[in-house]
Amino acid sequence: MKDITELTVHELVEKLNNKEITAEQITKAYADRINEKEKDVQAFITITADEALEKAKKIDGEIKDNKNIFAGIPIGIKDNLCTKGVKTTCASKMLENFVAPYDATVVEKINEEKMISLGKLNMDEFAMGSSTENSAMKITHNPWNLNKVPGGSSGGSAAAVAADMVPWALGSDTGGSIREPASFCGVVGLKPTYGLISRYGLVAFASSLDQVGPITKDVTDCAMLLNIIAGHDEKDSTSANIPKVDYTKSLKNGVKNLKIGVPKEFFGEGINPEVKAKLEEAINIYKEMGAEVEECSLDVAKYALATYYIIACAEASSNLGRFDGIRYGYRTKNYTNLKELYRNSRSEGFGAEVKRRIILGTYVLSSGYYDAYYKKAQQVRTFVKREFEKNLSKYDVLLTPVSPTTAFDIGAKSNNPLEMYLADICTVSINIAGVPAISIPCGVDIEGMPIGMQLIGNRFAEETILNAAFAFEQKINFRQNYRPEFKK
Amino acid sequence: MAREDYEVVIGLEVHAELSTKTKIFCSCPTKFGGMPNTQTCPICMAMPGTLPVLNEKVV
Amino acid sequence: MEVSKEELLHIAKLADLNLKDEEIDNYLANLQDILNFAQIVNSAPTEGLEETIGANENCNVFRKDEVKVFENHEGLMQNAPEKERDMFKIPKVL
Repeated sequence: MKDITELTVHELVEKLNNKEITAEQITKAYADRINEKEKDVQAFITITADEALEKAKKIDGEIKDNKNIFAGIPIGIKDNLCTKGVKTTCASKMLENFVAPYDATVVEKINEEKMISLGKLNMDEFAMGSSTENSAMKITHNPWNLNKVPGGSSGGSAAAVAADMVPWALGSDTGGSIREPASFCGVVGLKPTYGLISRYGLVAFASSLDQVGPITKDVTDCAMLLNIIAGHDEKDSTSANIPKVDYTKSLKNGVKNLKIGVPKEFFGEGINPEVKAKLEEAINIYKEMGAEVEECSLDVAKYALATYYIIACAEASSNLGRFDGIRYGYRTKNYTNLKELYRNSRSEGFGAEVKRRIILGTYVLSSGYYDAYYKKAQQVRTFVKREFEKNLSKYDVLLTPVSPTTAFDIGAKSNNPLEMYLADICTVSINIAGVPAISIPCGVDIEGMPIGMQLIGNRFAEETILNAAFAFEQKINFRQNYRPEFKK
Repeated sequence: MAREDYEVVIGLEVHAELSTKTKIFCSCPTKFGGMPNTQTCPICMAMPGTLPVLNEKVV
Repeated sequence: MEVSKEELLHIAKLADLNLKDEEIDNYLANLQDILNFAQIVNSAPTEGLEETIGANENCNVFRKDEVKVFENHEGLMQNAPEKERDMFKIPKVL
């Protein structure tokens, strides 16, 4: 029998409900695995394995209600989601000791299911980054090769799932922060349609782009976690009020006659040839399975990346204005008046990348530049949305790479912010347009590093992309054929 | 200087107080005279992760 | 657009951030690079396009004017860097 920690959540749920294993056994297995692998991977900021074990024992002792099929299933939570009683640091000195007095809505939902949190996972500071190297706490290492980055900003979440330290995890995606680390770590990551999942309790980076999403071992798990966390929330005015959907229902429909568009601009120069080759193989596999695949045009990437950095930084400069050392968070020891308290607390509490983005955001919103940058970016946003709408009215799904490369070496890009930003080129336009996208592994490169494929759908068409992803996953069996080797 | 050399400048600072039971962006009460920080919540404390929801009566 | 050192310092002031002398050149170079890159939005085909402000069609989302008391008062104050008698302690303002 496979090790407990190798099982997917749907396999765990089956064994749990057949009484083949107990919640305590599952939690103990994961706690042991964390003890074994965390020193190499460094995915966690706060580990709550001991409390988890106590909760698991309690759950085993309770009479099982048939509705609570996830009771006792462990989970990992990205450290920008507020969890009552457990620190939420956003991997920043600014919130090093912050304990939220409330749970994020998605955390309330997983608590209602009686799931057990194993801890809070590492990330780029305030979700700003593509490699988790911007964390003020620690660097996370890719379980496939410990010298490489896990991606970011949900690097801890993706690495923890890939290393079997958590069965599944919650991440957040503003410009690719779920999909890129999922791609680098060979796991599944979904960014939902904007508004599908409540943002209440997600520490805001860019309010019109942020979304919470699942990071899982396979597509079935992804659909199951989506079922749990999706839904309207009156505490979030941007949350969509649409009928509840069961995302596991249409997984097995197959892809015969599914119309897939392949935007040629996403395969241009700058895309690593091995990544391109694997995606071309994937396209052939879809054709073999009966899908209608066609080249299309979506010439938005270069505009979208610039627009993203303008809008995201502008919104971030506003959202991070609340950190002033007064009511919570880091306060400097070095002040003689209020102005110095604000300035020194913020300057000492924020890392360089965060300061860089606040400055950029303040600049583009400042008088004299507002029209040239921010207003223009808002218009480009309309253009990008329309281009997506045009293509998604013709095709059910668009297929692109997730990242131009596989995971890069730790330290390779950290001195060049602009080069780091270019890592997001395939993912940001999706956030600008507000549509859903999933990243699934489609192979490995010559060094054995995972390559991710991105499937983009129309607004609220998560079922379509999950179905397309499921069919492909079943065909290539990535998890059976490739496993992380923790290469040093 | 003679009186005529002076120019009067009058500034009016106008505040509009909402006549609602709850605050504009959260459901905290607005009763007059409470102790400091007793009619507060994570939203009006601007804690990380919170979101405002507009009071219908204000509009 | 060329960013001057004075502009950078002005922006930092607006954002309530201190930049150390040795950091200024680095931030200036980074900012300039990114702004040069961002210029591309000016060449995008946006003729006649409206701005997209939010990310979805939600509008006029309201809440009823009904009191809900937040019970966990201690939790609310526990993160205060300095407090006295349930109030946040800060330096003199006036």
